[in-house]
Amino acid sequence: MTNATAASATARPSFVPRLVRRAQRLAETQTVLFTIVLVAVVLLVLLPVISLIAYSFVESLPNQPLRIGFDAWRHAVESPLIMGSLLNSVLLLLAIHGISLPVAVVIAWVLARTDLPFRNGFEFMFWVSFFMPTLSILMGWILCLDPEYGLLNKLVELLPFVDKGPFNIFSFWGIVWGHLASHSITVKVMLLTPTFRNIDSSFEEASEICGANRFTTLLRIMVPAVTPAILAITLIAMIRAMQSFEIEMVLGTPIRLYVYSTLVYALTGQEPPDFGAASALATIGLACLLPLIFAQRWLGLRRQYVSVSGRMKSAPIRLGRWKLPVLLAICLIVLMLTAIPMVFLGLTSAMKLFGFFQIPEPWTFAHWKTVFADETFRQSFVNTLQMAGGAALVAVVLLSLVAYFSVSSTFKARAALDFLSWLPAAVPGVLFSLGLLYVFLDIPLLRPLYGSMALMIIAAVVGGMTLGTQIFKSTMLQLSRELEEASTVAGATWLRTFRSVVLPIVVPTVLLVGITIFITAAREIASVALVASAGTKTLSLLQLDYMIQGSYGPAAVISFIVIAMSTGLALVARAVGLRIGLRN
Amino acid sequence: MMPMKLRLLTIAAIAVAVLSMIPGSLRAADDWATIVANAKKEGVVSVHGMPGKTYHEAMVAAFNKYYPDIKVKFTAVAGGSEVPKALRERAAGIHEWDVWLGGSSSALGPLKEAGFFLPLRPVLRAEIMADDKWIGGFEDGFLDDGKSIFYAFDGTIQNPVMVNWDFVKKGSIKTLADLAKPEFAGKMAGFDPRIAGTGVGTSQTLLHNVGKEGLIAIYKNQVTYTGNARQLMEWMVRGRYPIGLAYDHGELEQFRAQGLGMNIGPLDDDAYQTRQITPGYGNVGLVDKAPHPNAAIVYINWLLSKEGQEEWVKVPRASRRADVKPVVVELSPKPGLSYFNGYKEEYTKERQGLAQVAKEAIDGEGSRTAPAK
Repeated sequence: MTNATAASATARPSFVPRLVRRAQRLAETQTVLFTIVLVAVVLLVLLPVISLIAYSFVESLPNQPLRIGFDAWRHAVESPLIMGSLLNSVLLLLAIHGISLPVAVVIAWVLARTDLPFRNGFEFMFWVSFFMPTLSILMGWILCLDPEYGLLNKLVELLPFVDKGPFNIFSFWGIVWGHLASHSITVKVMLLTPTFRNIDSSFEEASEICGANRFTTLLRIMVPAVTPAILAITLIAMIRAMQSFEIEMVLGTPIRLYVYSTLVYALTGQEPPDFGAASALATIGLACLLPLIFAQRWLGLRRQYVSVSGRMKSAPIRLGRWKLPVLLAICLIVLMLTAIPMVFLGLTSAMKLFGFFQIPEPWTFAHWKTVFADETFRQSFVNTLQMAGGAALVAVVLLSLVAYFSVSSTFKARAALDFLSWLPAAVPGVLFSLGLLYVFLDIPLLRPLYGSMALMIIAAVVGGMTLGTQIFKSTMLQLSRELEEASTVAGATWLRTFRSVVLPIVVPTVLLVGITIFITAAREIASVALVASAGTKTLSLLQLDYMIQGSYGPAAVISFIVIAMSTGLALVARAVGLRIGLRN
Repeated sequence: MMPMKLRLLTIAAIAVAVLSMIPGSLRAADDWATIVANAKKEGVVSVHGMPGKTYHEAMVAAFNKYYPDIKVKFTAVAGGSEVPKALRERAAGIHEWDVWLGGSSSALGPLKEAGFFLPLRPVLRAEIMADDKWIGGFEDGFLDDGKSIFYAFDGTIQNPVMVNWDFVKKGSIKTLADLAKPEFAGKMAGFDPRIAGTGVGTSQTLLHNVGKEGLIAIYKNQVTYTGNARQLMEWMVRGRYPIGLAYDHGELEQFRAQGLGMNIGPLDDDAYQTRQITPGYGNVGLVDKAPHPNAAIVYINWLLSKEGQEEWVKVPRASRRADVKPVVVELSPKPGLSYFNGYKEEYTKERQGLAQVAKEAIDGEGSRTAPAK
C-alpha cells in the first residue's frame, strides 16, 4: 500500500458523512428555492391563464349575480373566418420557418464556430436588428415592394423588357418576406449562436479525422448537438407566429388574408372589446400548442446533449477559400436586417410625409422637436428605464432558476415548471395582461401592487418568460454535471456552485437574456397596456399615442430613442460580460 | 305623536341628509364657489380619456389654464380596452375614475349595465343646460335612452364616402347607390365593417341611404379593407383606391399640408338623403363613487362650457355648442340637411345587426380568404 492510498483509506470514514451532510444541505437549499420559484410561477403564470379561461364562461358583469354560459365560446367558434384563418396561420408558419430555420442555423454556426472576420460584430448586429420595431421595418418594405409605387418595382421597370415590376408585398409571399426581414431570422441566430459556441471543438476534430467534410460535420455533428435549442427555437417561433399580427394586419387585410392572431386582435380591438370570445379563441390556440410543448420537452430530454464539460475546448474552424463569399453573404443579410430598417426609420423620423420624396422640402426636424417638447416624454423615459431595467434584472434571476430547475434538478414538479414557462408566449399579450389584472385585483394580498411600477415589471418579466427561459435552458442542457459535482466535492454549497460555476459559464447567455428582456419590455405594448396607469406610462405607450393620431414621425423618433438606449446598454453589457467571462 | 313642526323639521333634516349623500346632487347649481373650493382641496381629477396629443392638449393642458390647482390625471387608451379593467377594479373596491370620456359602445354597453355612471343634470350649472346653447337643444346630446347619464358634446359630421376627384370623374357618383356600379369595382377601400368602429358607422349611413340590399351590393363590389387609417389615406392620395369608405380627417390634413390630396373631397350633398353625426370620443359621463367628486363636477362643467368646447374644436373636431365657432368648417353640420346620431342607444341593435350583414356580404364571397399569391 502506498502512502497516498493509505491516507485515502484513513480519510474515507470522515469524508463520506461530510458528503452526505453537504448533499442534505444542498437538497434543503434547493428545495426551498425551488418551492419559491414554483409558487411565483404558478401565481404569475398559471393563475392568470386559469382566470382567463374561467372568465370566458362568465356572462355576468362583476357587480351582478354570477351567470355561467357558453356565449363567448359560441361567438368565437362560429366566426366564419376561423377555419380559413387557422389554415393560413399554418401555411405561413411552414413557409416562414421552413426558410428562416436553415438560414439561421448556417449563420449561427458561421458566427460561432468559424474564423469569419468581424464575427463578434456581426453577432452584435443581429442583436441590434432585434431592437428594430416591426412596423417601421414594414413601412420601409412597403415603400420598396408596393406593386404600384414600390421603389424596387420602379427600378426593375427601367429595364427595356419589363413592363411591370414583379414584386407585390400585399401577398402571401409578401407576408413571408415581412417576417424574414424583421425578426424571424434574427431571433433564431441570437438563440443559436451561443449554443453553437458552447460545443466542444474536439467533436469537429474527431469528425474531420474520420474523413467528414465541413458540411457533413455541420449536419451530422453540430446540428444534432444543438437539437434541444433548435426544437425550442422552432416551438418559440411557431408560438410567436401564432401571436404575431402586425405584419398580417397591414399586408393581409387588403387581400383578405386573415390569420388566427388577427382574429384575436380584432376581438380585443373592437369597442367594446369581446375579451370573452378572444379568451375562448386563445384557449383553442393554447390547446393546439400543448402537444407541441410536451413533444418539445420529451424530445429535448430523451438524449444527451452535453458538450460543455471540464475538458471542453473551443477552436475556430478555418473557412479558407469560402471566407470571402461567406463574408459577403453575411454582410448582405446584416445590412438587410439592420441598415435598411435604420434608414427607413431615419427617413420616417426626418420626413414631413414618409415615402413622399416629391413634395417640396421633404425633410424636417419638427418630429424631434415635438417629442422633446412633449411634457410626458421625460416621465415616460424614466418609467421605461425603471420598468425595462427592473424587468431585465428580475428576469435574469428568476428565469435562470426556472431553466436550471427544469433541466438539472430531480424534483418531480420540474416538468410542470418547464411547462408553465411556455404559457405566457402561448397566450396573446393583451389577454395575458388581462389575466394578470384579474389575479392582482382578485387576490387581496396582491392588491397593493395594483397600479404600481412593480406590476409593470412583473408583466414585462412574464411577457419575456418563455423566450428567456428557453435561452437559458438551451445553454444549460449543454453543461456537464461533472462541473457541479467537482464544485460540490470541493466543498461549495449549491448556491455557491450555481453562482460561481454555472452562472459564469452562461455569462453570454445571461447578457443575452437581460438585453432581450430589456428591449422586449421597453417596446412592449400589448402585455403592459392594461396594467399601466397614468403615472407608469412608458415610451412604447407614448409612441402608441402618436401612432393612433397618425403622427408617425414622432413615433419613429421614439423608436430611435428606444433603439439607441438598447444598443448603448447592449454595448456596455457586452463589454462588461466579455471581461467577466474571460476572468472566469 | 310628534308635533307637526317637529315632523316637518325631521323630514327636512332627512331630506338634507339624503341629498348630501348623493355626490354633487344639486350643489353645482346652488353653490359653485364652494364646489370649486372643495375641488381645489381635492387637487386631482382622474379622467379616462382618449389617445392622441391634440386630445391631451384640449383635455389636460387647456383645463389647467383655467384651474391650475386641479391636476388632471389623464389615462388615454384606445377603444374600450379599459372597460373590463374598470369593472374589475370596482368589484375589488378600487374607485379610480372621476370622469369617463370615450366612445358610446362601451359606455352604453357594459358600463351602463354595471351602474357605472351617475345622472349628469344634478351636477350641471344652469348655463350649461340652456337649450339655446346647443344645436338641436341640450337634451338631444344624451346618448342613453333615459337621457340622463352619457352626454355627446361632439357634433362632428361623418363623411362616409370621400373621393380623390383626380382619379374619378366628377358627377359619376350621383347617389350612394352608384357605388355598386361595375365601373367602381376594385376602386374602393375602407375600414372593415365587420369590426365595431368606423367601419360599422359607415355601414350605418349607407344603410339609411340605400337600404340593406343596396349596402350588400356595395360590399360585393370588390371593396378592399384595411385596419390602418394612414394606409387608407395614402391609397386615396396615390389613387390606388380613389374612393374611401370613411377617412381620417387628421391624416388627410397631414397630406394636404404638403400639397397632396388637395382634390380629395366628399360627395355632393344631393348624394345623401340623410347623414350621420359621429361624436367619436366626444362623450362624457360622471362616474359613480368618484374619488374626487367636486373636481369631477368642475371638470365636466368646464368641458361643456363655451371655454371648454372652444378647446375641443382645436383637436380638430366639431362641437354641438351653438356658440362655439368651428375651427374646421367642413366637420360641422350644414343647416337644412338631415342628420341622425347613430351612436345613440336606440341604434345599438341596428349597429350590431349591421356587422352581421357585412359579414354575410363579405364572407359570402369566400374566394379571397385563402392565400392570394
